[in-house]
Amino acid sequence: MGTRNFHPLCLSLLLALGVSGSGCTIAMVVPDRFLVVQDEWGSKRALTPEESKLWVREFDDDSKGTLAFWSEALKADLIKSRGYTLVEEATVKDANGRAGMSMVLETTLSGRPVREFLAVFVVPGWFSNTIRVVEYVADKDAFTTEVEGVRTSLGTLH
Amino acid sequence: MMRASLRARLSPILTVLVVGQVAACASVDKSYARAAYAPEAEEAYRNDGDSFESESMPATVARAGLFAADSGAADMAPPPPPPPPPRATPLPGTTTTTPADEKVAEASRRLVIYTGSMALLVPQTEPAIEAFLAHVQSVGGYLQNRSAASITVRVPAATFFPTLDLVRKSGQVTDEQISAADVTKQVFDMELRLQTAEESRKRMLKLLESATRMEDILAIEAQLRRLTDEIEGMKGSLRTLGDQIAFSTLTVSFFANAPAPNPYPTRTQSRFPWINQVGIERVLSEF
Repeated sequence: MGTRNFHPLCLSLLLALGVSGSGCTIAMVVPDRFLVVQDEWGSKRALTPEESKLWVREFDDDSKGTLAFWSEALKADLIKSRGYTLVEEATVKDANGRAGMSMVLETTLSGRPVREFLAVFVVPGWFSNTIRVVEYVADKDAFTTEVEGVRTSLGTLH
Repeated sequence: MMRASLRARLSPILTVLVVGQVAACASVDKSYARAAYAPEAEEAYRNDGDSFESESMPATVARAGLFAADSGAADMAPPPPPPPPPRATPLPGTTTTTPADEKVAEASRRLVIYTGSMALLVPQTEPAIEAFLAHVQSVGGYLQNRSAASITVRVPAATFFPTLDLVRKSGQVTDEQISAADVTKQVFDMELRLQTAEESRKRMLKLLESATRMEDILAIEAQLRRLTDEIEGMKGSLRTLGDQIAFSTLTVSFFANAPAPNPYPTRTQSRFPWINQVGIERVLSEF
């Protein structure tokens, strides 16, 4: 095999590795009553008729922080700095069996109680990790009825 | 001439009262040597004793003006200060105590008033309040005050911290404050002052039995009234302190919705850029 044929092969291999590490498209089955309004590289958005919001995003992490590190960093910012109240905390798994952490947070905006379900996964990569974040935000009443569907959808995330 | 005769009649009573006070001081003074206390308490009482011992009784009484010739029973100057309190007996089984022993003994005699307040986020306030009240009553506590979303209870001091733990497990704690007031010295001081006042009253009652002149009787009865008021006041204060020590106060505010976010966060931005892009406000504004 000559060197001329070797470079495309390396490029293909590297591309495959990069793609598998970063997850260029977010595959996730959204819960019932959610309509996907955006589905592009690293971001997927869905809405209910009442405008409960589901947003899945991916962020590059060159520092390669662990799940435990990012969990604590999130809590430090959301709870201590922004004043959210932590209602619940749990471990979750995606479609690949990869462990993540989830939180239910609550705050009051303009006199209205609002809750968020936030799940974080760390997907290891060759040169950098990918932080996959699932956020579901709704008024407290709607949240109570819809959150279980969002939790179930995590099992389809890959 | 009338004043001279009045002075002549009062001087025996004056003598008896002075002798009685001196005898009380002497009996108290002997008890100093018997007790063992924590160093600071011992020093405090020694200083009290020193300051008292430096005054002569007749001079003290004269300054008080209690038996001033031209003052009536209803117009008396402040009475002399009571003698210093006697020291308590040493701990049983100990003949000599080290400072470490005294500190351990002192810690075990601490009297502390505990007060706490908590804010709790719960699914529903009414059931949470009822469940909390049921627990309080089961441990021997009682309701002190209740409003729509807040309840103040008194619980036995021994159950104060277990009750706090129970509240923490019942919801999300959004605020918590606990205070502890050490009133050991305050209670101890008051008990000793009460004991001294009661002994003074007993001596006054004995003097009253032997008094024959109306002026003497009126003067002694005025002293007795003062001492009785003082004794009853101290007893009331001790009862209040005892109640506060025996039963701690806990106020719990229940919320069904989380409080609004802190408008003045400790830091405005996370050092990690992606974290600044997540959160309720970001999702609602940038979706």
